[in-house]
Amino acid sequence: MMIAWKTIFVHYAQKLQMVFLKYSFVMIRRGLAFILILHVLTDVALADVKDTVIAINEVVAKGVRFDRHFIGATIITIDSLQRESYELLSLTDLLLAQPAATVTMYGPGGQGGVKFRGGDSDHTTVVWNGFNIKPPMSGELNFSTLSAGMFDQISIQPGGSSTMYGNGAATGVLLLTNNLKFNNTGLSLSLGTNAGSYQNLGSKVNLKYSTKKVATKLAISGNFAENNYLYTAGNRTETLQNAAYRSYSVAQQVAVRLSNKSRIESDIWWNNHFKQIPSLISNTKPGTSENTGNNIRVAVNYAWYHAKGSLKVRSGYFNDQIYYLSKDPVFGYESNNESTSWINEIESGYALTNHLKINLGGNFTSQNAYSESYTKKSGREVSAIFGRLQGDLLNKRIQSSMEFRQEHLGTEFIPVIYSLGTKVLLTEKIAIKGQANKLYSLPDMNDLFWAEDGFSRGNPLLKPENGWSTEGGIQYNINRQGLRLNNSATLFLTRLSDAIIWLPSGADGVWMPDNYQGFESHGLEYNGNASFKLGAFKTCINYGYTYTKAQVLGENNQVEQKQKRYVPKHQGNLFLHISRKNIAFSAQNTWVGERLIDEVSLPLKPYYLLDLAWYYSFKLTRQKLKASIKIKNVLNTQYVILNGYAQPPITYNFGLNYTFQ
Amino acid sequence: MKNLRKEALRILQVILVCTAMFTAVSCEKEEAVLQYTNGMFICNEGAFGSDNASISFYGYTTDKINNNIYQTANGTALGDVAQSMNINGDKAYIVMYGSNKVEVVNKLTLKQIGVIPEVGQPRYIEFSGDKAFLTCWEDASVRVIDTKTMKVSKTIPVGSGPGKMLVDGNDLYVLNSGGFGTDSTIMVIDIAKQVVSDTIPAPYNPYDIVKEKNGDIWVLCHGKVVYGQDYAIVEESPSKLIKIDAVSKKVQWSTDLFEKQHPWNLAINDGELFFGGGYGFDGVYSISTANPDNGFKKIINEFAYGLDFNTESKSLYVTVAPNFTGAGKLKKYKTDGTLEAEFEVGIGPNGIAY
Repeated sequence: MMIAWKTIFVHYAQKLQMVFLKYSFVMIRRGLAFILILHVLTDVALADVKDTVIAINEVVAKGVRFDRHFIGATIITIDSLQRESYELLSLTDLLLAQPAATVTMYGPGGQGGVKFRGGDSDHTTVVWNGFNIKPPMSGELNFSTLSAGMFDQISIQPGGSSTMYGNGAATGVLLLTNNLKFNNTGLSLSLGTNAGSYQNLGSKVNLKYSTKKVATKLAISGNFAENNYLYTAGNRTETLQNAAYRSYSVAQQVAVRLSNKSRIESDIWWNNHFKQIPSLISNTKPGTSENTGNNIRVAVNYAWYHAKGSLKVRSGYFNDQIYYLSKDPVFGYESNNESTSWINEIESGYALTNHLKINLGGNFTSQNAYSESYTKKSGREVSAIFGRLQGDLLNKRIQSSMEFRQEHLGTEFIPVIYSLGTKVLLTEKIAIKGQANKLYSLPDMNDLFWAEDGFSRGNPLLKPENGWSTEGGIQYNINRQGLRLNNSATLFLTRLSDAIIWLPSGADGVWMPDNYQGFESHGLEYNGNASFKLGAFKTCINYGYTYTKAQVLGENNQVEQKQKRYVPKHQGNLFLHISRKNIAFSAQNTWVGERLIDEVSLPLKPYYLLDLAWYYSFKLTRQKLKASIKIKNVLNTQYVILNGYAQPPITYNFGLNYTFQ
Repeated sequence: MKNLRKEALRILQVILVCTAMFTAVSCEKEEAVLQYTNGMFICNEGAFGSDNASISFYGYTTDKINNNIYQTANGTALGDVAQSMNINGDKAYIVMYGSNKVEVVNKLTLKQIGVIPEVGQPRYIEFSGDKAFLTCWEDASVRVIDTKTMKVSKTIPVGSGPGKMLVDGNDLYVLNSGGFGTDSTIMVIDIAKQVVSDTIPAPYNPYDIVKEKNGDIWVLCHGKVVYGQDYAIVEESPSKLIKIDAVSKKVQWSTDLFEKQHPWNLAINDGELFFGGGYGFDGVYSISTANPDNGFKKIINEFAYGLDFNTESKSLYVTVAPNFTGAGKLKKYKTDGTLEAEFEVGIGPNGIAY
């Protein structure tokens, strides 16, 4: 009998042991997964894996729309080391080194636009601390007026995002974020100055103060250059004239932690940019035009977090002024242009269950524009409601979301747009993702209201551009002691119809915008970064390659064979940063493939650029002085970004940066 | 053994030297130089501000087009807005409106010979002896250029928007086309004295001029079109065709063409005039110079941008610019309007030169 009970006991004990082991293993695995998810740090952001709890003690989260974001989308956050090497340069210069971005630039300091996935510059929108600051007049923000050092984080989101950000986010978004932290670090100061070729001078001051309840930052920068470099046009070698620029910027942020659950922040940002406009390199006469831009951006953000979700209210006022002067003896004229946008938005998130969350929001945007080139003072009001349902399964191994946006413009409803996204963690290291979006982009006010001037006129009958996009990709990440490796490969497909193009039309041949066939693009984006130590050397590498096939839609919406203008099929980059104790070295390699400028002309040749930089730091208690030597275009490559506009040859720059913390 | 090594080294050195010489020689192959003969050039404006003007060539006997021939010959872009092209002797002159220059090239190879720089908004060029005459919008003038030195020797003020010209003996007729506004004069420059000797009152905006074998001069006048706010036309005058007596310099005959349509181009062939072309103008029309009062008739249905009659090939050529981002077309017609051939050329083709 005893032996029987013992046998039974042992039998069940073994069973219990098996059960215990089984569930322990599951629990350990779940725990590991949870830890991994929480701690995966990546510059190719797995942005949607952050937990819903916002630690407002440390991070004042702005610039992202929901607590869990961009499921299925590709987001590339520019590495801080790479950003630092462009601190006193413009955003255009920084974006030139990103393979997912195609940059158009009329020379240093000149009008700079960025586009993604075969779209145009006005299909890209810029979101600053949660606000869509796409200018209503031209639809294109001049990235050359924005200093790369003004922002704590710069991210690129290629692909459509109209449901999230509204008008203009048809093929890409640039996310500019300033993060204030209530980390009680007291006062910190950063001063920087640099001088370089072609009479380039730049300076910046960053002053931060942080307690547990208040955080504030003041950032001031200035940058100017004569740009009087040599260029070659045929058999002529000339010095570039009428190409100088001056750029100033002041930004003040104040954040107050009202309670453990709420905070309020104000942002004021002013910048002024003056640019002389050179003539085309084939022109034997120097340019005679210049423009001056003045931008003021004022915003307030309030956030309240509760057990089940959050409530955010934001309001912003944006004023853009551009004064254009041409002294041409025949075409000379001057023009004052001003636009204002008033953006008000409310959004709330609520967790229906632990795995299902809903977000709803509303936006009211009022825009006005005045230009001497317009028929009248013009404006429009756009209202929107937007929402999102997101859920996860299997301990967040599967995440999905659906979004919608309904906009009302004037007296009309714009057709509802929507998007779907999903992401699946196959293993700890491998995830697959995908999304699909409906897109739209409203005509700009220049398109609608430009007055007849003998050469051009607007068209008030324009329809919005519209289309769809989809993408799917795979991510592979390793994060362990001594090695961090992140890789992402994404296939994408985009189609945009009723594209607005300016062409001569009518009996008088005056240039006028109209809705024409759009374009279709598909391709591959591959991005990655690696951080590791080789002996005493810390190494960081960012790399990327983009293949884009973009073709115009012809009659009957058939795809035409030739590549879209100024969209390279191939582009790539490699950024290397090595440091040891006080010394650091970085190399930026940029390669852009052949580009067509039109259907007939010979294409622009591919080019390769190499930029090198050396840094030496002197460290004292709480203070650091860093000296830098930078050489841009080390190989003195003659290259063309926009046909007819000279780009600089080899350029030297010396910098000094002082930090007190 | 040592001797063998030395010998082997020597042989190796010889082989290396020979290889290097062979490589050097084979690398020195001459590039084949294309020659453009027995044909005509097509001037393609490109898009304003895009630096993508170009020149095409059509061979009469090959019946083929070569595009981008300037860039092919010179390895560099031509420039911004090729307004016109004219040939004088063994040189061709390409007038670059957007680049403020005239490119002077070898007419057989299109290789650059020189550049006439800093001529403000040049439009058209004509020749007499060793002088060239260039109309410029910037300062409403005709620049006199020494074709040997390629330098401007004199600037003669004329009317608004000086455009096409005609050389008739010692007279240079200059059409003051109004530019972006209006003008209604034709000026006559005494070529020897290089001064304006006569001003002929004409209908609004004279755009093109041709001369008959009998000496009569015909001028196509575009008419005036003025736009107000909200894009409505607030003032308009008809397009006209006039005949000028070369001796008296007076308008002998005039007729209205269209109330609300405004052609740009005029061509002539043995007693028959052709007119049409320009933005949005539909059709090419013909009219008899012997009996102009019999009216004109439409012979081609086409939105032509440029129109020329080639006296070498005896064909009527129409250039078509569907837009300013894509290829244009060259269409070859018989004088009765029968289409003979069609070719793809550069962006914004506006005329021919031969």
